[in-house]
Amino acid sequence: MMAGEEVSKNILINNNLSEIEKLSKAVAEFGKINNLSSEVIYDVRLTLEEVVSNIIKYGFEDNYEHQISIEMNLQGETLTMKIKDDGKPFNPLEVKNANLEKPFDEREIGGMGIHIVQQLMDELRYNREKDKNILLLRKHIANRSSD
Amino acid sequence: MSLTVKLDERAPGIHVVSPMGSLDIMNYTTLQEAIDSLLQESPKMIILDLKDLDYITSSGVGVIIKTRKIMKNNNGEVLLVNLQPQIEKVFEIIRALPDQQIFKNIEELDRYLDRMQKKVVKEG
Repeated sequence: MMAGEEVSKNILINNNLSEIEKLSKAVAEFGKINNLSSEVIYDVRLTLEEVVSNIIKYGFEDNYEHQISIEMNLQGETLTMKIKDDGKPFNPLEVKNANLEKPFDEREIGGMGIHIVQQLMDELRYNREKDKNILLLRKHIANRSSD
Repeated sequence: MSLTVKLDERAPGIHVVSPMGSLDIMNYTTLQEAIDSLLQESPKMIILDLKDLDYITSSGVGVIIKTRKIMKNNNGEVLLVNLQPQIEKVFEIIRALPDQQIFKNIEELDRYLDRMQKKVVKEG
């Protein structure tokens, strides 16, 4: 990829946890084509899994199938991910933070997942626009391939 | 992504659990079930050998933390060994386990176990 070039990949999945594997494979492919380091690929895969699982688990109140779109965009040394869904107003970053002293339950795990995402990403922004939840995540990649 | 769990009794009451592959939201129950059946035997120690674990999410960490709490309540221990760098990074972010329960390799773990054994003999 030449300096200034931009590469994007769009993935659409259903609101089913079994679809996360499809997402992970797409991340691996995107990373390989764009020469991203294994560490960056891992961070992105983990981030998207944590965020999207929270959306699937807590973002929908009906029994219908919904689609979640994930757009990955690489421009220079900035990787941006935009996750969009049409569920209820729900910010997946607000799943309660983990308190490891308390007895464990699913919310604690979700909160722990978001804590991980906050450490792995450089920017995180949630918006609600026209009945859609939009989550923007950004990561600055210093060395494209240090493997 | 797939997960296999290997179980091995290293010594009476000391069990090695080796999850291999990826530990994620779809398969963490596989590890949970393997550990649950082990817990019924009231082990003294569970050693999680993570050398073949390439990927972990919060669900997987949750299983390990839960196991540690149960073992601690029963005066047992959970030790981790052979963490790959990306796995170690996740545990560091969460500060999930005290440093003294994570070992770089089997040799370091063996030295710890020897010291513990000598301590028991001394106190006995």
